[in-house]
Amino acid sequence: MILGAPLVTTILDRARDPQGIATTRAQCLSLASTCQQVTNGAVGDVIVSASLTLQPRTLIYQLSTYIPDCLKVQTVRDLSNRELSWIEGGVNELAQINLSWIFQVANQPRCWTTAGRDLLILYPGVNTLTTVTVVYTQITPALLNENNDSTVVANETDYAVMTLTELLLLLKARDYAAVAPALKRYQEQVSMLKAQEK
Amino acid sequence: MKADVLALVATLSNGQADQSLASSFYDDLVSVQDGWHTTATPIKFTANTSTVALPGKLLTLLQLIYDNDVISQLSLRELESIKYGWRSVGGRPISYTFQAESAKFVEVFPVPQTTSPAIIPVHGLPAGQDYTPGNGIAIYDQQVTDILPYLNLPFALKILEREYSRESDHMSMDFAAAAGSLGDTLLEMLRIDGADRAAD
Repeated sequence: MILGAPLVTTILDRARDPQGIATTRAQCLSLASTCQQVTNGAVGDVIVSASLTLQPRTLIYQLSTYIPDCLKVQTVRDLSNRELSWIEGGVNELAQINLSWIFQVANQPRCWTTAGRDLLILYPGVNTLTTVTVVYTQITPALLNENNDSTVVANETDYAVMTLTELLLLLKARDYAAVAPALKRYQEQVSMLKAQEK
Repeated sequence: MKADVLALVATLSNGQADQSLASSFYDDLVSVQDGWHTTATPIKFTANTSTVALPGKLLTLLQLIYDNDVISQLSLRELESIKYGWRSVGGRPISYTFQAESAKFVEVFPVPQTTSPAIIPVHGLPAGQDYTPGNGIAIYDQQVTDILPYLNLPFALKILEREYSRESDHMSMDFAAAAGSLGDTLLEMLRIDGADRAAD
């Protein structure tokens, strides 16, 4: 975690614009906020959970409606805190399991999958109201004020956020010679962060 | 949101990008980037009519369901090999084809004998609790106005790729290539990856 002000100062120094002439501090903070969201989406640093109330005979849930800050579902747990099985093949694999999958009901769901990034499917459905816990990568909150807001990703991920923001500033400044090495550095940082044990 | 993406485009282009063209590029990109914005909505089957209209915002149909069952996509040749006069056969639809149909229409086989009843959305879940048997459900990628918020940056970069590769007073193939490459990299990083599911 790093406060907005030193984050912006470091990024502008790395982009060789310490006075914030080509890119103002406010613009830099806004870009860093976006880069934090994207980087967290790639490495999955900030993971939170939320309860989802399952409606009777309903298997499909629009994530942008029920869990608006969900970037990527990691797992789903039932009332007993057991992980539901993940169906990797999505709706096609569900159809192979059961052609009538969409109308199957039981006491508790046993598995989950997604269709695209916005639909969560819990199979089978339930007959009565019940809840599950959805564990997901969160869309990180925006950085609005450099003196009050800090990044929320882990310290080692801050470097990747800085690299991506620096990359955008170099691109903005048309410094193409520096863009390719910065992109390579960012990809290496993300690969290393994803490979780390969490 | 679209406004956020266009603001990012203006920032990264130092104000050079044409905003009305950027808006068109945004709409184009939303219609070609599938796998992100999905939804499920009921669709209506009409008695003795093989043609079924799909939702207007549909981009890619992922699965089509009639009554309780998933129905399969077949080609025209496959349908003809099943029965030469397949359009005259009535019964419960088990398959559909896109071929020889207008966009956003499919033709089902056999032809349904009953019209889908109306769905009354008491609970606001027409594809769930409010679903009435005899209807269909389409699960599909849809065209949206506002994309998911974490896609703002990759989409802005892809718009810049198009903006700077067209003929203009600020055309720059180097910038376009760099922006496009970064946009593609970020989109790929954000796609669902089975390897990073949370372990027990």
